[in-house]
Amino acid sequence: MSQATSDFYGPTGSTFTLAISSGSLYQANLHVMGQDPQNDKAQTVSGDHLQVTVTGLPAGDSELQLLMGAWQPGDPNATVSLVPGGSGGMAATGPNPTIDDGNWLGIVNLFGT
Amino acid sequence: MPGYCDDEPQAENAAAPPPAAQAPAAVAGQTVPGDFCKNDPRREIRVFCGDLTNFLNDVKTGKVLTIADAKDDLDKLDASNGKSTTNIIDATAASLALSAALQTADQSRLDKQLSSASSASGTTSLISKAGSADLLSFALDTGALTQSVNGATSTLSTNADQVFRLITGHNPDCKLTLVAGCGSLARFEKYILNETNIVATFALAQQSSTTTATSGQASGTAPTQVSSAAIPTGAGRLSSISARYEFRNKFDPRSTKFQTALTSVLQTKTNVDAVDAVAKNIFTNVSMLNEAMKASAPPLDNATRSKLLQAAQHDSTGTALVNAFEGYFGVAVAALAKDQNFNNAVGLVTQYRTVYENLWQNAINQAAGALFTASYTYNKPLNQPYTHDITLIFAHDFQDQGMLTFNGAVSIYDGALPSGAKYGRIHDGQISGEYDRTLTGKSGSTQTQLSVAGYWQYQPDPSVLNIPAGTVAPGTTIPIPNGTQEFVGTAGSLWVTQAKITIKASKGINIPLAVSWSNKTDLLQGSKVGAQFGISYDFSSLTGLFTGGGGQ
Repeated sequence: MSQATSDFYGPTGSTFTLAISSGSLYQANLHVMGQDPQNDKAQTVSGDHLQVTVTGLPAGDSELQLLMGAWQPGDPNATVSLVPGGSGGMAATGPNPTIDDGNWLGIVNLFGT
Repeated sequence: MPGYCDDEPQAENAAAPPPAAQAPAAVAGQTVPGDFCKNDPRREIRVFCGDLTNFLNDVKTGKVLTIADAKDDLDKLDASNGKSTTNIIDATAASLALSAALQTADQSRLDKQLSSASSASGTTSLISKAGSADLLSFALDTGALTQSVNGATSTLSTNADQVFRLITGHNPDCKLTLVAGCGSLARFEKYILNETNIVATFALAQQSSTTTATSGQASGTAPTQVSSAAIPTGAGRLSSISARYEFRNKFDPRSTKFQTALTSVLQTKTNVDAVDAVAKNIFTNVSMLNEAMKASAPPLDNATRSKLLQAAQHDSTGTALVNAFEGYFGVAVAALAKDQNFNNAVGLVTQYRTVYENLWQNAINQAAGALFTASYTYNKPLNQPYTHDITLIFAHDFQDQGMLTFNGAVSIYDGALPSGAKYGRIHDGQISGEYDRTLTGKSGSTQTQLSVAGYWQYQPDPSVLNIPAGTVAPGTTIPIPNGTQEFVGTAGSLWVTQAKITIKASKGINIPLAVSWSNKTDLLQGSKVGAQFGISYDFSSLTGLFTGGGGQ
């Protein structure tokens, strides 16, 4: 992967918050690609299970793993978007990524420059 | 394991018509329904059907004009990208239906009935619990509660849906939603199989036998008329078989009342600890899985992305897109299949995903509340008339404060009463209650649970003892030719109280230790102090044997 293939990118060390538009988020985990999963870091879920704050964007490729709760019947796919106001200059590479309704897991690809 | 997935029927058989034959006519600019691929005979196409449909519709509606526009859609079709993780698991884990079913046992549950009923000659349970084993459990118990004869029993318990899935390999692609139902058999599984548990109890100290006609006296000078004899056929005897069905409350998943109840359930320490534990395992193994996918699967490069985009643009039915995707995905799966790290990780993620889904289903069930559990038992006590026992079980879970369970039961004699019977159809009626609470180690691998129970049984008539034909009358050598029945014990109330500690070790092993007091037993008068001991194994914990994983 690279910056071009990530969903969001920004300066290494950035702190930022992502929000989902539907569904519910119960746990979040940050994995740095190529590293031992034992080094993964739990991230803080807030905003009534709709937001996750990533603290310290790693350099290079990483992925944010989102463990979702049970979806309401009829919920649409969730769009993941940046919440304005974090440190650094995080940006979306392209259209905001989505999580299919009913999925128990969502993945967001990140890149630290 | 309860399912909670999309309610749309999905064909699982390979005899479905080819996709081209059933693809609906599509008009440019209009979206296509998922029908064009959800019944495709290729499993991977069915699994990815939602994402293929989204991509096709984004193209048809003009939302996607370039592969850059379609980045998120195409990332989900990329076998090297973590965004395809859930579909990759579903597409490749069909052979892991067994491991999905054999999830790690939830030892924190207080509502599992693993041992035999109180009327068995060996039991540690004074009352019946509402729940049962998720897949299969085996229990050995010794020590009687209401019976005069102390014995040992083995008990096999299973859930009908899990056995069905295990035997048939039916493992539909589920979604995690607040409404149950998954695949083409959703309603049958949801309303019939999933709520039905079956329990068989074997008395180990009793022989099973069959009656056969004799062919003549073999020795002796005085002729003795014995026309039939009981032949032992094996050690251990089926003493009862039960079917249990859980009736649940209907609920509106969007109602404030249900949402409040669900939030409350999810915030209990037991559930928070359980989610934390399984989430850690899920994340660790998802990381390993995604590393393996990145290392082994060919990425969906720009050339292939362009090919998929062109296929979607030029064939609005989706057939060309499906075929183009199949060309890429077949190569990717072949590469992934050679990666042992991938295979191991898929098995483990599948296992922990199932545990996570079960946690949610249990939380949903708790929030909705169960009306009651009904149990029917065909009871075959030794040398006593057989009975049909019907029990209603009510339970209330106070979450971290424990669980209260109440039973009401009636036992009626099987078949026609003998002529001249001096007893009625009803054998007894029972009321009982139990309080259970986890004492120590709620989040640990070993837990202790305290249970205190009380039981009242009323018999309108004394117990009936069968005296089989050929039994020699006491003090004589005269066999009773036709058999008879005698009253033994007394009519009236039978009280039992019990205190029990259950050690719940890791890997689904439970060891109950109990003491009890009763004012009498079924056949004998006078109070009795007894001890009961057992050990049970919940086979839900066998995952590691089948996946190579080590469990928790």
